[in-house]
Amino acid sequence: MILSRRAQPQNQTAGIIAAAEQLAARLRVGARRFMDGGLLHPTRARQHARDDREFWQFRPYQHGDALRLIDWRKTAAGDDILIRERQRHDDVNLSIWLDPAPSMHFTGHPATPQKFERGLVMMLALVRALSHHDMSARPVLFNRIETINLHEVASICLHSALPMFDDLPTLRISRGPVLLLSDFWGDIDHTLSIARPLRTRGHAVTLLQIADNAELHLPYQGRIRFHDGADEEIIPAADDIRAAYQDRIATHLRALGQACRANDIGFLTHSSRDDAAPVLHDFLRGSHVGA
Amino acid sequence: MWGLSFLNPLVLIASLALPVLWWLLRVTPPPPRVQVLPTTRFLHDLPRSASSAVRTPWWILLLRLAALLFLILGIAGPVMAPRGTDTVQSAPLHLVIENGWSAVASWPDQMRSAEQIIRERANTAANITITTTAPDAGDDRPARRGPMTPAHALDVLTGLRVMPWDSQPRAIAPVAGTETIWLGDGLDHDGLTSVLKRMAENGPAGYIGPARVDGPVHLARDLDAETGALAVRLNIPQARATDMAYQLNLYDENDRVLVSEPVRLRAGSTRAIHRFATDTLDGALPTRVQVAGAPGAAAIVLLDGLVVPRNVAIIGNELTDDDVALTRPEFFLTRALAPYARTTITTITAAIEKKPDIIVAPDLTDPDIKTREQLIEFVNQGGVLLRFAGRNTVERADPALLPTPIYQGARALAGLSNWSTPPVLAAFATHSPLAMLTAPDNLNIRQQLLAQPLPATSPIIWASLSDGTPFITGRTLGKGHIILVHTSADPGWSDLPLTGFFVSFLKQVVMMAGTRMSSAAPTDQVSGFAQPLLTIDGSGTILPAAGYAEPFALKETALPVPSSRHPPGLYRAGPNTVALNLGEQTAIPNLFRGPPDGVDVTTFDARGAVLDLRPLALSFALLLLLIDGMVVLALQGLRFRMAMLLPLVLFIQPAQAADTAPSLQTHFAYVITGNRSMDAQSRTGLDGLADTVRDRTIVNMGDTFGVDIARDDISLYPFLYWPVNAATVLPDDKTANRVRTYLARGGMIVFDTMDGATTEPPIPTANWRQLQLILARLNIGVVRAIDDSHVLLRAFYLLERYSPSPNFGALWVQQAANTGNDRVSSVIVSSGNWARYWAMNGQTGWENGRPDDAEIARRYGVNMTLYALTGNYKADQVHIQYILDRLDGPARIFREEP
Repeated sequence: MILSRRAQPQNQTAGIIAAAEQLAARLRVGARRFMDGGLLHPTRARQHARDDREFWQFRPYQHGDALRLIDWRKTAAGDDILIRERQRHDDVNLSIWLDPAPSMHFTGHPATPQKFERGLVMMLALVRALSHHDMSARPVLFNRIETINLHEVASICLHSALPMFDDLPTLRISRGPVLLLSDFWGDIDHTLSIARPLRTRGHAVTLLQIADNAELHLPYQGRIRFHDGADEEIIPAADDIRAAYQDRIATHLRALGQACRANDIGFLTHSSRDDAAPVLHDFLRGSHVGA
Repeated sequence: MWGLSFLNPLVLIASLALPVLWWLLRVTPPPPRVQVLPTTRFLHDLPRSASSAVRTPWWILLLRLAALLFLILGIAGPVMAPRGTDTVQSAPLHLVIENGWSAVASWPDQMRSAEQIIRERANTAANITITTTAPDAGDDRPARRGPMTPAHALDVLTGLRVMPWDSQPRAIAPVAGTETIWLGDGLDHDGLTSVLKRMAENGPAGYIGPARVDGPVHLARDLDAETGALAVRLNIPQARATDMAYQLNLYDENDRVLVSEPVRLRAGSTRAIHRFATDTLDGALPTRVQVAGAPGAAAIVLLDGLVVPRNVAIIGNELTDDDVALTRPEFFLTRALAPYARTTITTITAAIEKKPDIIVAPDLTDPDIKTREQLIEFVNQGGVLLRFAGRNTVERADPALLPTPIYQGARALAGLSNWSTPPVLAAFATHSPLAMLTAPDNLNIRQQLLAQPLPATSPIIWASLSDGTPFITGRTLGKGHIILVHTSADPGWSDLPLTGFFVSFLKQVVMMAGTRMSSAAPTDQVSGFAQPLLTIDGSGTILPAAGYAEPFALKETALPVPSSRHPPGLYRAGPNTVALNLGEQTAIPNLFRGPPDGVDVTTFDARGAVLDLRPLALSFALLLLLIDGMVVLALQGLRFRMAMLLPLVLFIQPAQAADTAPSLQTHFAYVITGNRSMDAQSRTGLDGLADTVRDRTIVNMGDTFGVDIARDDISLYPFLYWPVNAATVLPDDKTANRVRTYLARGGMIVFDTMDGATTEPPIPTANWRQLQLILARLNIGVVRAIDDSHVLLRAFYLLERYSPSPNFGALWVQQAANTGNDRVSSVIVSSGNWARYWAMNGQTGWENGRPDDAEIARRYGVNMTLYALTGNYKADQVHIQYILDRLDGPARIFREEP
């Protein structure tokens, strides 16, 4: 595999979490609207105003947990600080899937984060922003790990094998909307062949494309041998083909957007060079659905 | 007329491969840059412009081929040389190179000229024969190499060396059908003229030599000196217009300098004699004398002596300062023995206890019985008892302690009542142990102890006077010897202690000590062979005995002349060493006054230099390759990296450009003022000073440079002369900063207002006012009149603060405390118009027994140079006592006699 994951230094996790926390702080208003606006589950929005959830389990406190979730009585009886976790019977979550494909580890410029890294920050920010309102936004991981602890999630995403795009139909995904984070440069039919069944199962599906600026604009010059691990192409003068390439990329994105709309699937595009907050606000506002 | 030739013309064949390279390069375009891009699949089948072909563009091909062509040319070694006629250039050449010991000074010029001559023929098929005039080591005749190609001849040239023996021009024969070029050292070797004549008859012939013969220095022991001290005679082949200063170093067995003394060769003279003060050696044994900085085997005199130094006890009283030393035998004996033995002055009983190798007893009083027995035992065990006559010996002398019985009373040979001609020393008999020595013909003997009659052929008589009476007698006793000199060891009875023979005789006695000598065969000690121990090579390096060095037989006559079989050096003969010195066995040749008719004469300098185009071609190839690299980077879109290569292009300059930079030699420089007469005076003045400094010190100054203080790099010059008049332009801020940096980094500027102001503080003349403005601009603080303790006044010459001439300017220096430059004054201010005086180099320099203004200016100039180069080195406390002694002594510089 030519496109391999970049070596992740230990302090990279801390940096990603810090960025996610900052992004989450900017998303709280949107998150409240996301809950109250009923996008999550429009028919039950009012009922959710009441706390109808039941006790599910105690677990040790972990860094990042809200203090108000601590069960003080239980904590006083033992040595550990314990969190009381509750769960609705009809639990509805936002499931977020982040594409671990090698192409997601590409960056066209040292100052621009990898697409995977940007996706991870976005995923963690959503987890944090929604959990602040005692809501569930859970990453879609193997083994269905029911954690919303940012360190755990980040560590698993950076160091463990995550489900690939083709694995999605085989995974058990809880009720509620599904957000798919990837670059979606593959064949449109194949993309829809995975996303459409999710929609059919009742999930509100949104594709959020994370693209690198170099992928969008091809800012190269001179004689170059491009390759992506599978394909390769020698371009004698990159400048010559830039305009044609950009046209082809725009055509692809347009076609993908149209296909999504036709299947009632949301579609958003984000460049890793840009600020992530606007596109997440768009997502939380639900403005992309049916647009 | 100039012609282009190649040192390695065969390399040019490689250019035939260029079309193949063209094809290869054409089908091999520059490698593309590799870039990962996840959207690569979108690049398939995109429309492309016609220019994006997969083959290398033609102009890149052209660039690369041009680079390769220049590379091939560079390796082929293109040289541009002044060309004579083509027939001469391509004719076979016989190159004769003088490489005897005397060629050491001109050797670099000879080699450069030889290389140039060969390079001129590099692209011809000329056969070159190289003959060296001195035989190779171990050979008897000069070596001839070739005929060979020019490239091979260049290789041969690199292996040639100066040999430490004489040239043999007479043994060189012409090579038929060749042009002969003789590269000489400017000296007239035996047979040179006749062989050149034969060469001219054979074909075209030319002689190239130095314009001025600057060497070699030729050093020999001087045994004819008046006293017994170690003395050397220094010769050069051509007299100089000014005084020359050489430094003579006396080394001990561990190669440490025992004594270093200057010797001055007067203007117009080719010879100087120097006596070392060996009484200050304090027991150390000198092993060689060498002229500091002078190359060549002739600049070294090895002192022969003993493998194991002998201890000599002189019976007498220690010399004190109150004694009138010149009347004491101990004085003469100590000085004469110092170079060859460790001497102590002691009493007879103490001497016997110390068990020395030799006891020298000037005028011995008959000892008591016990001491007498001990003395006889000492001699029986192998000791040498050397006795001199004197007042005590005249009155009574124990025959047991004498070689032969003597008559009471001394014989007066000269005086008012003596009418006959005093006898002189006769030639030594062949059986005498002194047979190797030469009897002095002017030895004046006034009193003599008379021996009782002996047969004239008696082996006891080592030397006798012209009237047949014994003068030196000796006999063997047991394993040792008793020797009697029938006159005194002080100058009272004879002039013997004042002669070189005295030294030679004592040395001979010292060498006998510890050796077996039979009275029946007294010459045994000089028989046998001398085995090589050390060898001096042609450049003057002392090495362990060379493999080709052969032993020579020690005969009664003189030592052999150094040759390819017996190189100069040290040889071992039994317990003693024999020095074979080039300077003592050969004479310095005369100047070569001119070759016979038919031989063209020119000098090394007069021949035009060969222009080596290799650096130019290789630099150009490198430049083109760099441009190619930049083009490739540009084609790959790496414009930033391409920009990083740009500075490299700017740095590419032909290598020979560095040759003209003044960084490899020390040069004087003056500030160009724009005033033509002032600038011309500065240049001629500094040229004159450079000559003076070259002649009098070991500093080898190069050419003088004029600098534009605002633009030129002044950091390379240790010493800048800056004449100032009222019209001198003030430096701008940028220039002032550069000058301040120069001074802060150890540079020195001599400002000269040229108006002769001598007052203190000076009367503010127009020039002085301008100087003050310049000093203020340069941020130079107070300058003060130089005081007597300033190092500048003793950096080389011991100078007085002011000159005796009213025309001569005074001197101010920057306050040392302000400089922060190791307390060295960076700025010297004067009004003396130094350059005018320095330009008078070569003139007498003396006026009524005192140095004139020009000489004083020259001395100040030398001191300034040494001060600029060595800083406050002379302020070292080590020199204080020496300097004080000289200042207080009679040799004060301005009272010195010319």
